[in-house]
Amino acid sequence: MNSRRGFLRDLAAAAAQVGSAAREATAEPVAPASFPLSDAELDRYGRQLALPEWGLAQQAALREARVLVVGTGALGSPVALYLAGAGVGRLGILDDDAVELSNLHRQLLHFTPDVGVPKAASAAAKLRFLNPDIVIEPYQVRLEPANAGALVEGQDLVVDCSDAFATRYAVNAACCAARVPLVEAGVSGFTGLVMSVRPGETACYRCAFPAEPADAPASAQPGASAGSGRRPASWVRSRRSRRCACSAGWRARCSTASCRSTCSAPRSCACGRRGGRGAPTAARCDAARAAQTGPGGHGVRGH
Amino acid sequence: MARTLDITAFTCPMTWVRTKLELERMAPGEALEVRCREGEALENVPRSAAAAGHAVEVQGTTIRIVRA
Repeated sequence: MNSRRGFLRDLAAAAAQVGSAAREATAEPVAPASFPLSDAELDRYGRQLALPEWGLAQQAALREARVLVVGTGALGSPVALYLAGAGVGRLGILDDDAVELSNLHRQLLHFTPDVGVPKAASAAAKLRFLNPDIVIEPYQVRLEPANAGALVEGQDLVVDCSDAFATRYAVNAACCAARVPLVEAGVSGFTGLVMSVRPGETACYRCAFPAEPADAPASAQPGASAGSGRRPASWVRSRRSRRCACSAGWRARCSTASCRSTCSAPRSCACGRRGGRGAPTAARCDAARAAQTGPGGHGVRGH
Repeated sequence: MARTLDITAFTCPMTWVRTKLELERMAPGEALEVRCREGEALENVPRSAAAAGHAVEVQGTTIRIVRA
C-alpha cells in the first residue's frame, strides 16, 4: 500500500515539476504576444503542426476543446493518451472501477503498482505526466441516466469506451439530448466497432442497436464489451450482423430518396428523429430491416 | 518591406513548422524572407514551401516565399 501511494505521489510530484518548468520556460516567449502558441507548445506539437491539414488555428481550437472519455480500459487508455498527447485542453476521464492485475496487458494507462487504485486516479496521474499543460478531470463515478446529462453538458465531444450496453445507451441518450457529438467504440475479442454520431445529422447508437443483445455479457463483468475475453458465439455473430448498421452504412443507405420516403424512425429513439419524409435514419424501418436480414443486405453496399 | 523569419536556431522539421506557421498568419500574396542555415534546412524548407503551393525563390541562405 505504501509503495503504491509513494509511486503515485512521486508521479504526481514529477508531473507538477515538469509543468512548472514548462511554464517558466515559456515566461518570456520569443514569438510576438499575438502568436497563438507558446514556444513550448510549438515544440510539443511540432510534428502534428507540420502536417498539411493541421496548423495554428487547429491546434488552438484543440486547446480550447473539452472532451470526455467514458471508461479508461483497453480502449479508453489509448484514446485518452492520444487526446492528451495531441493537446485537448480539457480532458475528462470517467471510470468507477479499480485497476486489476488482469487489466494490465491491454489497459495501457495502468501499471503494476496501480493494482487496487481507482482507474480514474491512475489514468489522471499518467495523463498529467504525459501532458502537464492540459487540464485532466477525473470522474470516479459510474455513468448512469441520472448523471449522464450533467457529465455530457458542455463537452465538445464524448468518446464512449465503456464496457456495458446500459452505459452506452445512457451516453447516447445524453449526447443526443445535449447535441454533443459522440464517438461510440467497442471491442470484443478480434471484432471491433467504431461509430460516430452527430446528433440531428446521423444515426445514433440506438438507431443502429435498438436493443441490447439478449445474450450479452452482464454489464458488471469486466471487459464486457472491450477486451479479449471469451464471448458467447451467438452474441459475437449477432454483433457482427449488427455491425453493418454502423452510421456510415445507414447514412449511405438513408441518403437516398427511396429510403427517406420509407423510413419511420422509432419514436423511442434517443436521437429524437421523427419518422416520415426527411428522417435520415431508422434501424427499425422496413427497408432497413429487410436490408439487414435479406441476402447480401449489409447496408454498406458501394462502400 | 517583406516579413522576415530567422530559423537558424532550429533543426528540421521545426524549421518548416516555424515557417509554415508564420505563413499561416500572413495574407495571400504577402512575402516572407526566411533566414536559414546551410544544409538540410536549406533543402527541405524550399521544397516543403513549394509542395504547399507557395512561390519560392532561394538566394544564398535566404528563402523568399510568397504566400499562396
